[in-house]
Amino acid sequence: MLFNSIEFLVFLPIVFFLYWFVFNNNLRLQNLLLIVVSFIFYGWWDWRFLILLAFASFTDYFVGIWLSNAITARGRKYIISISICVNLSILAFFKYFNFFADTFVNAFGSVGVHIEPRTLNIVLPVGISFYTFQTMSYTIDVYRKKMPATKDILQFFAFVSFFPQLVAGPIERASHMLPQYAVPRIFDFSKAKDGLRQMLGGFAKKIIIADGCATLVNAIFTNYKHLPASSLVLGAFYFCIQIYCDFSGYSDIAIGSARLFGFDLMRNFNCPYLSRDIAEFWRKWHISLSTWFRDYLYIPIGGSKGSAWQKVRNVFIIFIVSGFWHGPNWTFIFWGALNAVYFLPLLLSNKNRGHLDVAAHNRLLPSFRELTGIVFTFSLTTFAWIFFRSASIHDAFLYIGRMFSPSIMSRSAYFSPKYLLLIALLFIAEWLQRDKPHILYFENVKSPVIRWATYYAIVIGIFFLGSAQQSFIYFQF
Amino acid sequence: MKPFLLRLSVFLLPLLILFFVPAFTVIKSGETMQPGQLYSKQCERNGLVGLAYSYPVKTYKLGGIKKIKPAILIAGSSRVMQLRGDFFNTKSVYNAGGFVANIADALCLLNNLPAGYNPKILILGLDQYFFNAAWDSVVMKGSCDLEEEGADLRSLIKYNFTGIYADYFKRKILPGKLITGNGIGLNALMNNEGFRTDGSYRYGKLLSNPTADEDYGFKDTYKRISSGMGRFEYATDINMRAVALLDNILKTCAERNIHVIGFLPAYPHIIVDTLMKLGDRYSYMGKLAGVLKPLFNKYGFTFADYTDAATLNAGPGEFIDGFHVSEKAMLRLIMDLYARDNILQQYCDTAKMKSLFINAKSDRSVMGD
Repeated sequence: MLFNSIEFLVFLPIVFFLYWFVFNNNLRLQNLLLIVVSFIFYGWWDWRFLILLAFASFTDYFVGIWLSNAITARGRKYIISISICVNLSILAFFKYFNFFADTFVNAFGSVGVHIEPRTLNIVLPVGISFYTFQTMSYTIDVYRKKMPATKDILQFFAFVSFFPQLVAGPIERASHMLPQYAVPRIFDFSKAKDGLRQMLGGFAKKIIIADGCATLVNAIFTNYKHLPASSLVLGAFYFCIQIYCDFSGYSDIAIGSARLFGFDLMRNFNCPYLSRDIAEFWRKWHISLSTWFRDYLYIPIGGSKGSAWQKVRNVFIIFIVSGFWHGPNWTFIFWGALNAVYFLPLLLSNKNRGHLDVAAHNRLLPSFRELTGIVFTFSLTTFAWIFFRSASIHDAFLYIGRMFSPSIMSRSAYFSPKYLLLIALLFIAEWLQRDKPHILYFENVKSPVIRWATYYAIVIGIFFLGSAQQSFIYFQF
Repeated sequence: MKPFLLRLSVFLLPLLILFFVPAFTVIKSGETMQPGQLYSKQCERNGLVGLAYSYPVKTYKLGGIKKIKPAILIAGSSRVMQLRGDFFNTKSVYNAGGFVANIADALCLLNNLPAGYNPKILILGLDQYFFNAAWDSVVMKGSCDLEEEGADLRSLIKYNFTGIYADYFKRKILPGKLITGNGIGLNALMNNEGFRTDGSYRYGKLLSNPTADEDYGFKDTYKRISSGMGRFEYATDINMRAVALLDNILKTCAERNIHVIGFLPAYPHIIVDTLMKLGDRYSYMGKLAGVLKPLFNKYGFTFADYTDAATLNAGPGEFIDGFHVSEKAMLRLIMDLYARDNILQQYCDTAKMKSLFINAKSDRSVMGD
């Protein structure tokens, strides 16, 4: 079920009503309700996906209990390896099998050995990379004794399947979320109100901007061989905006929905396009995944410690794995590697933690230095997104090659004042709210007239400016 | 919880009111109905289908064909829509007028008839411009894709939001008719205009107020002729690819034992006169019968050329506009075809047709409904 669908518009109020009015006094029933509605939400795509979700949940639930009962270090290692093997096997089979098969065949083909390719017609379950990573974080944390194993299967299933964040995150940590399923829930007016605001902001980003840009991006990337450079530059720019509004819009809706039920999900985006360098960008983009890789991969392999060679190696590993996490395509791997190349100079010169505060703190406008940093980082990021969006590496290089041609000065048919204006409005809103949890965080706006006028303008804007319904980009990952 | 729900309700109420009127209007009127359901719903309600915001005519007409599986199938553009089932001596008639907007659509229709079903007779209106070399009807103008989608609620409201409110203020939309009417679509409900269950078309506004039409006195038709546009493109030659496709269609019909009666629909004599005065700008029209008739003869089918309404003795008053004959002129046409085609005679009754003709309510409407 898509957030931006009529079904969800009906589904959410029903669940809200049942949750707060029917099962209000019983924590276990509330958790059970969340599991049932989450399975309905997920099964809306394909009921067969539920089998996999249930299997992954059962496995990690029992692995957690076995870990808590295991005494020897060797036994614990053995048990944790079950969780990691099961989860990675699920991912490898459903997401990467055909990629590995093709790569294998091509590798042998390049040395003259021809193997008959055997690929499978596998349906990729929606959001598989998100929930497998989430359950793995639980077992690894239990293994590391950072948290106790839960004995309550309802709490664990609710944690894994919680519908707002099931299919595209934020990838939550058990240590943050599981305790929230264990305490009685009391309706919090200001939390619910702010949740609705955040949802509204998310819907605006997705329906008005991302879906509108999607039409332009699809047309440009499909026909890039026949378009002038000016259109290709615009295509890269539109995609940069599309992927941000699509994914951060989803995260806003997820976080906002969760707040309606009394849950606090972690922040997933923090105005990443206002970053002054690439390190800051990666602290602000898809935060739940970046921190997951940091905690469970980067630090265990040495992180930023060790020799320069080890630092370089570790940075490449984390960025390439992160790229590969997005999908079985060399474009994602290249995108990850390119970001590693962007990041390395900062790390090696110890400047990777140079911008921990918000830009132009306590000022309305950025300094010239900050502005150039923001523009430069944005340009680097936009350039990298071309690899992310292209169908193949070959296409990406062709696209870039055509982008730097004299036709860059020609007028593009894809120059859309409407979307450029909307994007400008988005940037202004993000800039003004850059130190707030989300763009519609209005606790400091005293005038109800301004607040309500903004809400009405957005709702009407969603209706009249919104494009045809499109799925979320990150569902495919 | 209460303050939250109260505030949310206060916030949503104006939005609900604002969107309720257009949403209710398009839903209640049936504008959002799926094209595949239109015909069966029409039969339940026994009203007209006249959608104002979409025109999924192919899917709708196929719905009628699938349900009736008529012995006599009438096909063509809007210029055959005036041919009513009541003119025949059988109930097994359906007018699929509007489906065939170009010659390729006729093949599309044949290819999409229900499995195992073939009509006994196919009455095929062949608009002259289907064979105009300057208007290529072989390359389909529209789409043969029969997965036509009706207008969705959001798009309807989005694009007609102010228009619907304006129509209420102009009294073009009347709540009483919207709630009590049995037609489907705003055109049917407000103007009593649309397709009947036999597939023929009822002109609502044009019957009640002919002078309001933009083509009153054939003004718009003359304009199209003088500009050489809007199906009046100048051409001296016949499009032989279109003729070849027609041959293919006739061959398919012959193989499927479908008897075809083809005709060139009528223009008012005064319009034909104007066309003739333009020298060879429309000379393809004059050559058409000579090329098409042998094709029909080859398969033992009937063909008639009614390009000039004078051949039917139909005056300009028997036209809806410069393109479309009235029901009365269409009755003349079917009576003429009856005289030419002995297979059609099995499904017609001369006495009934003559009676209808003599008792016609007006030059435009035969039965007044």
